[in-house]
Amino acid sequence: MNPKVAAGRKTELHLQVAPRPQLLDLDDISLVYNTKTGPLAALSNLHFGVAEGEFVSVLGPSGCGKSTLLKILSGLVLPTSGEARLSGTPITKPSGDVGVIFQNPNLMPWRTVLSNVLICAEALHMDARVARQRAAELLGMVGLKGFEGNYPRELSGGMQQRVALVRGQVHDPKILLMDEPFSALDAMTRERMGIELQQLWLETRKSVVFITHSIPEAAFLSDRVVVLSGRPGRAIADIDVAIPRPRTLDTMNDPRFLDICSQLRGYFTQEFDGTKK
Amino acid sequence: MRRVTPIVYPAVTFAVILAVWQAYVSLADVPAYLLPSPAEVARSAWYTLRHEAIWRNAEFTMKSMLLGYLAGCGFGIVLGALVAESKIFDRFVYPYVVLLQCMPKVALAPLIIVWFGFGIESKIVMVLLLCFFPVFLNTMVGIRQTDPELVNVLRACGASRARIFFRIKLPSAAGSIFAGLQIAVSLGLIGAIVAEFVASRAGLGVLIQKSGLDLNTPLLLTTVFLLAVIGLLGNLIVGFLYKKIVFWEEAARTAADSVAR
Repeated sequence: MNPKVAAGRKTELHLQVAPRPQLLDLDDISLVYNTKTGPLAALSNLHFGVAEGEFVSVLGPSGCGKSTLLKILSGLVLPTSGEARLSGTPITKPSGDVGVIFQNPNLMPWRTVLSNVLICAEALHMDARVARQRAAELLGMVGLKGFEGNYPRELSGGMQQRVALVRGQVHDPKILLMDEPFSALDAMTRERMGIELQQLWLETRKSVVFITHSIPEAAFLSDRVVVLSGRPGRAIADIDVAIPRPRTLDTMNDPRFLDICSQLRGYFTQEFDGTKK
Repeated sequence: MRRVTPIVYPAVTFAVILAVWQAYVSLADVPAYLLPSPAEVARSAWYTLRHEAIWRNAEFTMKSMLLGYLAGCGFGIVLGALVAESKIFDRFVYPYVVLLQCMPKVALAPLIIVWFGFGIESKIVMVLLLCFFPVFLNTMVGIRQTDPELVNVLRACGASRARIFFRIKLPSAAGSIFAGLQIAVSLGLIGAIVAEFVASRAGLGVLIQKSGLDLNTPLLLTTVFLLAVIGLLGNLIVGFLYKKIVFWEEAARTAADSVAR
């Protein structure tokens, strides 16, 4: 635990520091894009942490810099100021410590399911036997056993996204970054994928940063929800979701769940009223 | 049954054309040196194709075509990839490639004969020049049009540029490259014949020119048909490879089928 981070925490975040060891630190991150019309701030003094094994959602309106945040965390973009640290080491370039699951499955149509799943492991020069074994295990967990030899076009959208889910963690990264992974799916598939993701997470207990627009999705999946303001994105709240797991479809009618949803929704109406004035 | 039907329609067209042609020639009493009847062409073809001379010339043309095609397409792919991937090549080389394309390369034929002689070398160079550009352009555009999201998948796990190129960009561009290879077949054949027209010691182009001067129209038509068959064969081979290699593209399948029919 970095003392500077603890000291620097914004007071308006009603956040308890988790007793688990801190894995990811976002230390006062700002990012300004230089556009034709002048500088554009995408993120402003963003500050939060993710503990080992914690599932944290980042919730915000469109254009709050969520995708920018993901690029910073995966090392594709460096912040203008501040620092993102993984186990205390600054993230400066892409590495195998981070697994990314994108909005679209982004599968290579010329590769089979198994070969798609292994593409990152290959790039990281992971031992082929270990990688195959992990791939088989994970594919089994998401119900894709027997589809190893199929091509992406032979799979449904939900199945393709499951393949991407497996690809993101075959190389056993320390943390998973998910960028609205279910937003391209239909509502029913989306709900089912949420439940499956929870199951997978309960088995692997990997730290997750889950970026989403959906309030119920954030509340359903997360241990904590970090709420971002509109552009430039900064953290305006950090809420614990103290609902026991495994959560089921019935959880969505639980008063605690509804309470958290309305609390989260409150931030956006506030934000909206604020801009109207 | 389904496989037979598509062949029937063009076969009917062919029969009608032959019938009209035959009727016109015999009714209007057209002299054979202007337009021989289909029967005369068939007789000439039957005679010619059983003799070695036409095959020797065909071999010359096909050899220059094949070697020039392979070299031109090879250069096209390599240079197209370099221009797409490297700023230096894009800035220093690309403008000259465009300039070369704007020039009618056929106009270079006499110069190429002067430089490379009457033999097969000059024909190979001509074919190479004509094949190069469509392949170059299609490779460059194909690589540049790679879905950046696919590239990001590998970038996010720290893959090297070379790996991203060979694992993502090149397969992504394969469909586009094959479209260029397909065009290059027809262009390459034009290059070979034009170079043979200018000056050559052998080739189907020479045969066409000679039979034209001799007013041996049946032989001329036979040779032209043989060239069409060679072109078709080349297209079929490229279409077949397209279908096998770029198997994931639905468009590849239909394009290859339309040629195969």
